[in-house]
Amino acid sequence: MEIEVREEGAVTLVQLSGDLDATTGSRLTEEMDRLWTAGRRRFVLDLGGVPFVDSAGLSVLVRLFKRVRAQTGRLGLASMQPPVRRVFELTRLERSFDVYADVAEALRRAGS
Amino acid sequence: MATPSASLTVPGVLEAVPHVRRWLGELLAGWRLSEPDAADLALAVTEVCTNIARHGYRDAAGDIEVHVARDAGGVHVTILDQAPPFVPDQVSLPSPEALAEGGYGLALVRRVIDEMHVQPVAGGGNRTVLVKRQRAEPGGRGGTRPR
Repeated sequence: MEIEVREEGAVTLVQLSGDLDATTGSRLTEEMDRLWTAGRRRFVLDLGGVPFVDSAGLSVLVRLFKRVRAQTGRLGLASMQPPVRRVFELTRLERSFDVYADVAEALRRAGS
Repeated sequence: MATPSASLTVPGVLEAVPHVRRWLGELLAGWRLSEPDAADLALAVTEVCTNIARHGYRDAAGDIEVHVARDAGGVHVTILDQAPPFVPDQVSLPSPEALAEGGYGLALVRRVIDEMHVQPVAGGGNRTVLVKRQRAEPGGRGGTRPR
């Protein structure tokens, strides 16, 4: 998995490329830990480059979301591909997460 | 027409699971399975193989054998391991409000797959069988044979 980070005003845009699974989830956790330590609290994860997520990847996202929410931060998920959206729909976690169709909308909402 | 089938054996470690998933994806694309069905199978096979590597073998060595076959009824995947007996008991997904950090794996498999059976193998190990049935296509052209 490749991770690119870009600051968009008060929001940190994290663009992911590759599968999010039991072998790659730790890389996302490490990067988010680094950003958290640096004081960042508002995030958008661009999932447009993520064709696959499994339960291990889902667990990583749940942990991130809970931490951000506990500190009144923001974590939006943007541009899910159909297989990833299906996992969120099956688990009904799309009700709990802030899910957006595209990055622009997610950035607007996370920055407001 | 002969029933298409293929097999792959990999070490029972987490790092091998993405390789299994890519192999399966290319195989199912070649069989012209629909993308949603192929994605469901990729998820199910990933969850089962991850479970074997993480909880079955743990630090022990062993292989994972994956056999895939397609007939008019659908796609059948058989996954063999030599890990201790495994009894799946997880059937319900966690409540979304609970934001559980685990417990999704096998429950997801049961939702994307039509049948899942796990049986102990004589001499040790488990045989996991996953079945994804061929769905009827719009216009009543269901049950098509592999082309």
